[in-house]
Amino acid sequence: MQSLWKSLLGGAASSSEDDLIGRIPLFEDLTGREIDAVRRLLHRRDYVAGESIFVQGEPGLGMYIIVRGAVSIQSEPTGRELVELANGDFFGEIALLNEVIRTATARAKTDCTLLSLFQPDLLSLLDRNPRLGVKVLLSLARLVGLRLVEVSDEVEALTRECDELREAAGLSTDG
Amino acid sequence: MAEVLADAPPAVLPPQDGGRARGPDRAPSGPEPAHAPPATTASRLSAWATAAAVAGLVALTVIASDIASLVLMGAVLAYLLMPLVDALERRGVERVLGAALVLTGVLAAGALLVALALPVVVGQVASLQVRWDNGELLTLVSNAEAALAARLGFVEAHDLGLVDSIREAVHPEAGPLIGYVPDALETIGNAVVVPFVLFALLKDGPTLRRRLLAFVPNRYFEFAMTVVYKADASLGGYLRGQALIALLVGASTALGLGVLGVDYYLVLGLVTGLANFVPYVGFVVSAALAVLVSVVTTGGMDQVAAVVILYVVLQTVENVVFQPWITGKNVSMHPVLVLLAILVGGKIGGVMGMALGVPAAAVLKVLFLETAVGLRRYHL
Repeated sequence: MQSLWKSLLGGAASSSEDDLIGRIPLFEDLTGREIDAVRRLLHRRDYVAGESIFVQGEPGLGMYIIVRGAVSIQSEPTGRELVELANGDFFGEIALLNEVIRTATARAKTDCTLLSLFQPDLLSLLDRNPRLGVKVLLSLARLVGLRLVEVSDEVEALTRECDELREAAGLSTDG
Repeated sequence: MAEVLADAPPAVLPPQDGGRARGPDRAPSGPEPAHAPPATTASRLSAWATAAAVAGLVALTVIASDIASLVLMGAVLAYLLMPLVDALERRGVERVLGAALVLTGVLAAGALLVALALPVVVGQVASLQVRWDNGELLTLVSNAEAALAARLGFVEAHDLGLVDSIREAVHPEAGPLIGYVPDALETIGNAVVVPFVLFALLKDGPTLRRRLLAFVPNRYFEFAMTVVYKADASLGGYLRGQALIALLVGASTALGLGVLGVDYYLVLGLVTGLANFVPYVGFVVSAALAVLVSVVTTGGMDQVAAVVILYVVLQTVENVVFQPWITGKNVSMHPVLVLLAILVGGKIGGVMGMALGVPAAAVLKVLFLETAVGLRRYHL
């Protein structure tokens, strides 16, 4: 009877997963209690190497965080790898913030364990526990911001390269 | 052609490079050929497991249909009350405590309602019983029948056979009260089951959904998530809206009938409110019942016009004010579909089936639409 009450009243205990979640950059700032609340929103999924997680062009509703393993983000239809992600990285965050079609394909490069966070769950967290919801969102915004800085640096470098090439080409056609 | 290639055993090409190199033409047709065989076996296995689980669930529902309906009742109540627990959680109350508080509140409110309204309702039912026992009601019916016959002209007084059919309909049910004791024991059992299920679902509902979703194979996972969330939003909104509307309609019906001076207005209001869970049909049935009661109790047609007008006005108010305001566009279904859902639901599960037919159809609609989209957009 005691176990019945325990299982009825208590939550599912899995502190080892809590540790994993606490080490993910996105959730670094959270307290133990908050991590526990976030854990209840996340879906844990296991993939074998080569399995696709989502495919470019599909409607997307959430993001994935890599707990273990490596994931390749590819551009269809060529299958060219855009980036390889590993432990602690996250991807698909655009769909989390805005329900859109996937802009790239994500494929497991090795066997991997992912945690997924879905838009309706994030929205319900914001509704039920705004303080924690804002903390998660802020952390997400920071990381997305960092990524944006990296991308704009890259764009700048590429633009410069393009200009140089154009100049070189222009010079060569003129000459 | 591409699909045939993708599904064929990958004997020819080495796994990784082959997949990468042949990416372009094979991209839309699904998983890596290198991993197709284990995936297919696994998905076939999981399909069998799912089929077995569903079959088991259906069998269990058929065998223990009364228990299933209790669990269903608890689930519906949990759906209705979930926002309260969420609201408490928002104010920093743990989910366990919130669920306990909400359950206590519901039980207290129920007890209060029973304590306040039961004497009146019991009084009204008892007076109905007394008037039935001394034959007063049947006399009134036969008077009404005679009046109707006189007015219509073309029917003889006893052609309608109203008295006989009513007597036949009521008699088998009217046993002595002592016969209800085993039922009462069962009712107590039920009274425990429903709050138990209610509490468990209020506290663990979201977690439970997550655990069930964990069984969905990777390839269908995002699709399943989308279906679950959309069905959830549609179902929850519908049930909560209907409950609120039933409350409003029931209360205003009781009030209106009371003002009109119709006997048994509380019972009629209660019945109308509950019947309102069944769109269209519930309204017609409860209006007919109210007209019948007013004819029988007054022995004439004096109140009929007023009662009919009251029901028409209330129905109009419900459709023009309550429905758009409360349910909004939670369930947008064609009226023909709604009627079909009610009829099929009634065939399957009686009155409860009728009430739950529409939400069930709404879920099926979401499932159907999302599957249609899924076949097009997801590479299932």
